[in-house]
Amino acid sequence: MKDHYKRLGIPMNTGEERIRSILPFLRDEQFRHDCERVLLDPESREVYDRNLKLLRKIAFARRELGLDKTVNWSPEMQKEFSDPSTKPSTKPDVVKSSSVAFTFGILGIIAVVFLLLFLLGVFETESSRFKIALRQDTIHSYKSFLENYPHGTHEADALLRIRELELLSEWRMSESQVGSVDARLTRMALT
Amino acid sequence: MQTLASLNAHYQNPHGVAMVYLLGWIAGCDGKIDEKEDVFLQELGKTLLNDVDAVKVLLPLSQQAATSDIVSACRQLKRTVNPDRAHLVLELILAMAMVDGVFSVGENHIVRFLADVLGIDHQRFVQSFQSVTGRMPQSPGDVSSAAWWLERDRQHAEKLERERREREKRSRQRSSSPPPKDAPSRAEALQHLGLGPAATREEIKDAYKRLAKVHHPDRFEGLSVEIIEAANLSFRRIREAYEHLMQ
Repeated sequence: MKDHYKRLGIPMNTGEERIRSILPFLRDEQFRHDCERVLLDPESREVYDRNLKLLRKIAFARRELGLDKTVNWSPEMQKEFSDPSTKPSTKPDVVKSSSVAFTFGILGIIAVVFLLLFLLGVFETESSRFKIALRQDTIHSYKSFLENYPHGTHEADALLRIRELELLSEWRMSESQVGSVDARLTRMALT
Repeated sequence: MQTLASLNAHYQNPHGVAMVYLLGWIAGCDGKIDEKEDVFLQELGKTLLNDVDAVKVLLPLSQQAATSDIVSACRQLKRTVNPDRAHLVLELILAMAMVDGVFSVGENHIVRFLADVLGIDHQRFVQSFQSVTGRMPQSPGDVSSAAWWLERDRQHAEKLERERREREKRSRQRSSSPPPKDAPSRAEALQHLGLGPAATREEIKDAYKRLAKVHHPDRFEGLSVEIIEAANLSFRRIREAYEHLMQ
């Protein structure tokens, strides 16, 4: 069982039209075919969403109970449903308030240190900051053009989403594909 | 809204609450609780928690299936059940999953998860599954793949075709003889035994013998009162179905 939404980089409640506009840009034929059959048919999608939610819960419960390496839970499933934001706690069910305060204190100190390092520019060079600013500016300018664009809203949305994913490095597109998306966006914006 | 913790405090029976909660989770995981599942759960709630309305309160929680509640109920189950006899509890869980005659993808995942919670190894799992259903366990289907849906569409078309033939056959029989009074009950009784509508008398006998062995209350001796009561309930349903079919 695959988490298609995670792979597409979209939330579970994304509308059918938006999904439909993204799918033609997928390079993996099998993945595109699976997404078309499962996500574009309301009945299939309802069953899929229900099972996906169930498996996310089971994955969480398995991690909590230390049952994430069994015959009934393959390494593929473990990998597919591993979510770093829901790591299992090693704490007992009832945690004393003093230990909660201690944990939050430590986390607070770590957060402050990271914030200081961030402000001092340790994590980014001048060049990388410039590049990020440039990309954000590009997206911003596309968006401002497209807000006034009267036609092809779905296509514009899809192209923008793809471009954002590419910039966030979640989408591995070839140079020519990036060029094609940019050219279409520019054409739409300038028409 | 009630919480699992508040219900534990109310009933003073955390094991009973955990059992009804988890069985309710299985029943509702395919998006609906049908009549047979509802009746089974109500009887279970009445027997285990001594309250006819127990299921009304617990089912919304089961269907909401908060991860914290699932984890808490599983911990309770693990704490209470003797590892040597955990397979008996698994067989009760399987009986609940099969009560509507369908073993859905979601039910398959939950049953396998609960088998792990109970510490049941793969070999024992296969044995228990065979005892209850009379067939080998299948891996849960991959509902994220187009291939699974293609196969499912094919099976669905076959089922519709079978049903159409059955209807035609029945209508032909009806024109030549009066309709059997127990037709709908017979289908239900067959489902309780995990059999299809075309099951023969011999198949009914075999299924009853197999299931009676699995669910016989004597096997559950030494386990908690809640589990013995649930086993009694399950055994009674199978016996009633068999007696009805043999009349």
